[in-house]
Amino acid sequence: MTSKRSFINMLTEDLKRRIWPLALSLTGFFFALPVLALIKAEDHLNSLHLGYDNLASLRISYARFTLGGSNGFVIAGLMIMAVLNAVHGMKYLHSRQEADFYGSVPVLRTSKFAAAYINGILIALIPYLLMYVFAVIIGVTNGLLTPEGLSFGIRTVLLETAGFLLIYSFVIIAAILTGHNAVTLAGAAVLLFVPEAYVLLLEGYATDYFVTKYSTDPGHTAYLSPVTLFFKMLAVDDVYSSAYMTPLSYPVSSFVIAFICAAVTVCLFFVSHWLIKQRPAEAAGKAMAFDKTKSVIKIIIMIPVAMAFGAFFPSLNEGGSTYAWLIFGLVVGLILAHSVIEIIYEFDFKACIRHIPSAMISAVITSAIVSFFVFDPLGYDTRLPGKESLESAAVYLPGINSSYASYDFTYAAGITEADLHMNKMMLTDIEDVYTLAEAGTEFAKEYRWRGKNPPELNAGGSASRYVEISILLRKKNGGEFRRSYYFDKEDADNIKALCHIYDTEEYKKNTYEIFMEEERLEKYNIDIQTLSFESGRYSDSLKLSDAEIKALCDTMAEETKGLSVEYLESEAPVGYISLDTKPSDGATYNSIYTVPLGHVYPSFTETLALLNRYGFKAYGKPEASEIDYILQLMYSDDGTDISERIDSTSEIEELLPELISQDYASVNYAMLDVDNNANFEVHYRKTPVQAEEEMNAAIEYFIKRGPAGSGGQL
Amino acid sequence: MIEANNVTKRFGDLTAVDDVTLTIEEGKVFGLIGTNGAGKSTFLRMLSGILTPDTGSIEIDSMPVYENPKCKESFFFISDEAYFFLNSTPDDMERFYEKCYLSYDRSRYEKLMGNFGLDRRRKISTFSKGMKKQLSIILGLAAMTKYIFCDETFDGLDPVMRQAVKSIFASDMSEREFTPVIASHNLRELEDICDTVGLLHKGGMLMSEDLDDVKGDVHKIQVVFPDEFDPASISDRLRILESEQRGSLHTYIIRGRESAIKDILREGNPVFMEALPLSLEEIFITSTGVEGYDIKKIIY
Repeated sequence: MTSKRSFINMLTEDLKRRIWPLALSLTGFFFALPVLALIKAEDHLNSLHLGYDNLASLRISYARFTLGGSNGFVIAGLMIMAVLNAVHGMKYLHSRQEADFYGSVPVLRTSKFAAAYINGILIALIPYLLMYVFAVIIGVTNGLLTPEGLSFGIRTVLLETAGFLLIYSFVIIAAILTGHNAVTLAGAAVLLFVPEAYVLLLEGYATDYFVTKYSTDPGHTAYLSPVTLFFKMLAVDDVYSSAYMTPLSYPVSSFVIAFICAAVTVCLFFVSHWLIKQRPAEAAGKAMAFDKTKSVIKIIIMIPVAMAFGAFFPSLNEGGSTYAWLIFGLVVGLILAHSVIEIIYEFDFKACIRHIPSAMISAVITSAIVSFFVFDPLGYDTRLPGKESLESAAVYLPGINSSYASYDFTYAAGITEADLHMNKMMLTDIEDVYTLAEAGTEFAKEYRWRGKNPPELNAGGSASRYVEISILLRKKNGGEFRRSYYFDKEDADNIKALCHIYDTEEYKKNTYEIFMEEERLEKYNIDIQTLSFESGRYSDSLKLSDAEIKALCDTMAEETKGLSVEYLESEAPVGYISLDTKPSDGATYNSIYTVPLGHVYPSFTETLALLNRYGFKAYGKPEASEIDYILQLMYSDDGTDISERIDSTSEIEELLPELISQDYASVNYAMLDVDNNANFEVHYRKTPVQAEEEMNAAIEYFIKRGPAGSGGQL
Repeated sequence: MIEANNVTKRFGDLTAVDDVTLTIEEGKVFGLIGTNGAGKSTFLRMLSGILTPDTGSIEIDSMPVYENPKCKESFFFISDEAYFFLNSTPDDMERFYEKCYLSYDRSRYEKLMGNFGLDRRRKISTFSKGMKKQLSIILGLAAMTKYIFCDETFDGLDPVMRQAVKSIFASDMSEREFTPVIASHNLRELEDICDTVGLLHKGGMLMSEDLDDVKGDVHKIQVVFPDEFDPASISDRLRILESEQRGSLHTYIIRGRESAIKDILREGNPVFMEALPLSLEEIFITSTGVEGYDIKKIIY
């Protein structure tokens, strides 16, 4: 090989043919970086000038939202360029004229491929880096970029480059395996998303057909697709939570993923290089380049498509004949997938009646997979580990203190509410948990063939006899057994076991916010601004001293320990306490972040007294003397509204213990049954002072049905 | 020398080239004849290293062609649908080929472009079909390769241009090592330029012969015998490929030496005997027709 045919010359010649992607790349990144940087810089300087925000937080914002992984324009640009450059760079493989042209000249086809491959990367990354430098300059000249921000930006570039390369490499493989640009895009979609689709479908089927399926967070499937992995690497899902805690950093896992992406990219390059040598030139214009891959790819696609159809039709028919629609969906999915794939392969409508054996193989594999979930041959629903093999256990009943996880700012992808409660809960007395698990297993055996979501289990909504309960059994050998069971509230043994569990300090520590917040506040070095108390009647935020907050927390924790299942069956909270905070190392946003401390129950007399002492108006249960009158609102079956005014003090006194504030009626929905159709509007007497301070003079209440299993009190 | 040994190429169920064995000598113009779909383009694409044969081998100057830039240095392939870069000019294409072929002669390109009257800076997409063919030939000639493979290249050229190209080919052959291989479905295109012709039909090579040998071995003779003479008495000693009688005029196409044929015919004391020139078409029609192929269907 002489210098005349040097690789640089080939790169140059290839680049001449790719002017418009280069122009597109330059234009796109110009808007996504320097233009955006100018807009952000102007906006930030205005905010600073007007005193809306401080310089530290604006610098963090600039680094994160202009140079960092939260600049969605850059992410979109890199993804588009990865697909576009791969398809455009490899299009010479898809045209017979071009294939003949490059195949006949004295240039190795691997050299031509390498030139096109490298140019595809350079066309995206050089404009990206160039525009990135401009955005950095804009940041520096406006005083918005610190060395820390620049370091964060450089790390972002590394992560984004790794994500780009991975997607690009996959699309290159798709382009080599196919012989037509349109089919390349379809092939790329298969390579980029099919593994994730498989896992999601398998999990979906498990959820639909295993009665005791413990739901894990779908976040882990992000690792199976280069596209979702790109977002995962840049921690886009977690940006608001992580931004609050560690403003300019990526988790270590991002760099581990980036390293793996780089390694996979290198491997894929060599695979591509090998495939190019094997690829026949006559594949140009055909759907698939390698005949041998046709059946394999067809089967790989047919199975998830059929499973998706099999899941789709029953989902439209809640409570109906699940299995008939499942079979219908599977058959339709298989036929459609087979026909479409064969028509694409052959570019001929008549092709849908050919290559039946591969369709049959797909049908058999699909049937086997679906049967695994429908018939449960391995006993997912019925298996329980031996009691003697267990070390500890954990329980999560979403119907007790149900609002917990939604307020937790450490909540992140990969951790479900159940995980959050159970991961640290170590109940060593496993007898009661095992009782619940055994009851759940028996229930699962009975309901296994009742179809998806049998209506009798969901009747009554929150007042349903059955509620879901998650159980974690930890084995002595380190293994874990997680299941979600239906919990029958009318089963005396179940209630007894639950009472025992609830009364343990370990359960409460992992169920109520008040026991966990102290640790978090210390861990994240959060600056407490105010303490908020809200109830149906009153809401306020006051600045308290650290000592006052500690005293309040200690008192509330102590009183929370005194809660019992019996109490939750008859009472609801009367208020809610939270802390309004800011990160002490500079706010990323103007907003104040709320850290929950939990609900206040009528039995928390000392807590309520402390709140009142600190200046809040913290009421317990209403007293008859405070009430002017009560309006009972009822909705008849014929749709008309009936209201009845109750003025009599004796009637009010009789009614008050049974009323539950609508604001807190669902906090312990598993324990406390209320009649949603009976609404009571309680109108308070107003003193002149109260009239000014109270937000609401009338509060809406439901009425209790009574303790679980009692059949209601009224 | 180009050698193809038992070369077969299949596209799915279709056998495009079926067990072809062929030798193309240097310094001669080789014509590859066949109908559309006979396998000419496929064979040339294998010859150019674009396609790999399913079985058999192809060597050019004892070098395998496929993925062998050194071997590919020795030839230039002009496809039936030549590819030009999008929005390119002749000069753009020239610059690309100049980087590919070590022997590329830019001055020759410039001279030929001038001679053919093509604008070097005009977009090729605005060229006519014939002009694109001319450009392909000019680029191929400027590459100064030992072989040039032309797939239906002469179709679309006007007679003047065709003659001009033939002249350049002849001139190059006399001045340097140069062997054109020209595929066409039109026998008349190749008649006055080819030294050797191979006939492809349904992927198989029906025949491959030197035209001089073919022409020297087959003769068309018109003869009038006296009424009392029965031509059947001598016909068993002649290798008659075709005979026709109109009144007393017999027209024979006969294989063999011309003098020996005439000696035998003279035994009938002919009153008139004349050897007529044979067209390439007639040679193929007669020589392949006897082997069981209906050449008229193949060529027309």
